[in-house]
Amino acid sequence: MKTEAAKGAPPGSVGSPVLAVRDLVKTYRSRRRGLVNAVDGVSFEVAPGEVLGLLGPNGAGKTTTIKCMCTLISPDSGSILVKGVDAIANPRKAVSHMAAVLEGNRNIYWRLTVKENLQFFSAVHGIPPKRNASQIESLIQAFRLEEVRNSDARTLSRGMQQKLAVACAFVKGTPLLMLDEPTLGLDVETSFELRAMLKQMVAESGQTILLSSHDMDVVQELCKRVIIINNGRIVTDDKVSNLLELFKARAYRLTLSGPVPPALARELESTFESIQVTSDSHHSAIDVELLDGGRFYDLVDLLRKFDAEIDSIDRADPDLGEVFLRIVRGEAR
Amino acid sequence: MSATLTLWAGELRRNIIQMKRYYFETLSMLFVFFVFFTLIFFGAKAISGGAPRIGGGLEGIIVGYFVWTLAMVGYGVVSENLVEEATTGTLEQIAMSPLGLSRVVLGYLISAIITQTVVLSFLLILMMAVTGKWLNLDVISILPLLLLTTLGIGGVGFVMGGMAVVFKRTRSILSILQIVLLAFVVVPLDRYPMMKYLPLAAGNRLLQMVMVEGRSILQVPPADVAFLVANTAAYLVVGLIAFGYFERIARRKGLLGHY
Repeated sequence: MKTEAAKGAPPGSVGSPVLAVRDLVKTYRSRRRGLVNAVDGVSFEVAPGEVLGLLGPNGAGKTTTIKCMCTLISPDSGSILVKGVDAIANPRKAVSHMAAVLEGNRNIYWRLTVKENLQFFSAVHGIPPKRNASQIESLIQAFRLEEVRNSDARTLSRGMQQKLAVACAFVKGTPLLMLDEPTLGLDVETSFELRAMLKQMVAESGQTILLSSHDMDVVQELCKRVIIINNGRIVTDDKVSNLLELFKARAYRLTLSGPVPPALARELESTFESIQVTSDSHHSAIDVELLDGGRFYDLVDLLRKFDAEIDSIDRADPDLGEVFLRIVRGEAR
Repeated sequence: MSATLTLWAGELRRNIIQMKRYYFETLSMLFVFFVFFTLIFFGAKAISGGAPRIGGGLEGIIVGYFVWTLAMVGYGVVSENLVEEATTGTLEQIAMSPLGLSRVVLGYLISAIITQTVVLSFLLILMMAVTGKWLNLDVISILPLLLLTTLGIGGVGFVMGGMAVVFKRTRSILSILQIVLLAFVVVPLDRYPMMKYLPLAAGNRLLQMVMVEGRSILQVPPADVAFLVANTAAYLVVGLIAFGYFERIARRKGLLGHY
């Protein structure tokens, strides 16, 4: 399945960014809270073929940022360039380069069949469904919707509806796709299936994707780079592998023979921040995050002082969810 | 086919599919319109003690009612569809059409006029059969006049549709205005000439000339046709400008996705 993106720039290629956001600001007036800075100076770029994860807790400003890029919300200030087109000055031209799934299975017409939905969204983008017939057919197959192609969307399971919503975004063949919570509300199995389909589609189409999700497995599997937003500001913009490595390098687990004496436990807790000591009658475990490498030797010296016998030392293996939580909580520096 | 025609053809296809698949809704609408017509017709007949004199006699009532039902579709389709799309969650998708939301909404109007003209033709035949008054059904003359009349009222629909996106609860205003529209087709223009500046009235008068008096479009006063064209264009342009204004407010306040 070749799209505009695939024709123009293969995945991973270096070129001018498909999406460039600069100093984006959006403020709402709320009756209860007064002025709310939903997005507060957000800037980032997305390279051709890149799959970028956008993470943040509820109310962090992810959806407002995405909707600004989709031209559905006008920002107060800042600039958004989609394939070089100014999305604020020329929104129609900008949206011709993008498609989005914003509300999952609510983004489709429940009274139309699977095929009719794909045909309709092709027409909404100005592409005659007949000309797009092979693309529609391959999407039906790629998302395993063959058996329900002529069923009304309202009769499908939530997972199938969600797949259809994503397929309806792909049918436009745009170089940029925004997927806001594409696996929201799906059971583990369907979420896994949709994730695998997305991965395959991304590899085949070479489209640039901005993915927002609370499902860290989806983000970790599909994205090479993530941006974490909190209180409307970007707090982290890095490769997933770098973030995982960074936290892996900082987090240690030490296993000791026998219980930790109370005096040692007190000394550990007063000397090291974010340390956790768990023990039973045979073994003890110390989980600690050390920002400064030299502190590791302080820890070993302290254990030696109390004659603690170290069984093993491991570097903890954090997942993206853990990394995300620590960044958002401000625990990571 | 241009992108706009592709969009409108897609909307027409969707409209036809949904109408066929959910035919009971269409039949219910026809039934309600027919019952309302019989109430108006026989009520007016009872009050006047014979042929009702409102809007140019018995035939005039049939034409006026037919124009009114079609006008209600043209007037209500924009806001009803926008409210439905916002409620079901597809409004943001169509608002992301590179052709623009106004053109998508104009597509609602055009496809509704096409499909509902066909559907309401059955109502017209039913009304003629019940009253025993058979009108001049010169399709070539009727269709352009009907299209112009309904597009004009569609301009008012654009204003209401824009308001519905921003203010959400506009159904009560819509219902009241539907009744007001009825006045536009029953009040005689020769007695209240200023009424011709309002939507519906000028088109209704020309349709009366064709369907009741048996004239063709070439036999009606060209000045009246020109006036109808100008009237329709004015309402449509004002409606589109107002819709664009409300759309900008909705995008500024982030209202397109919330309902």
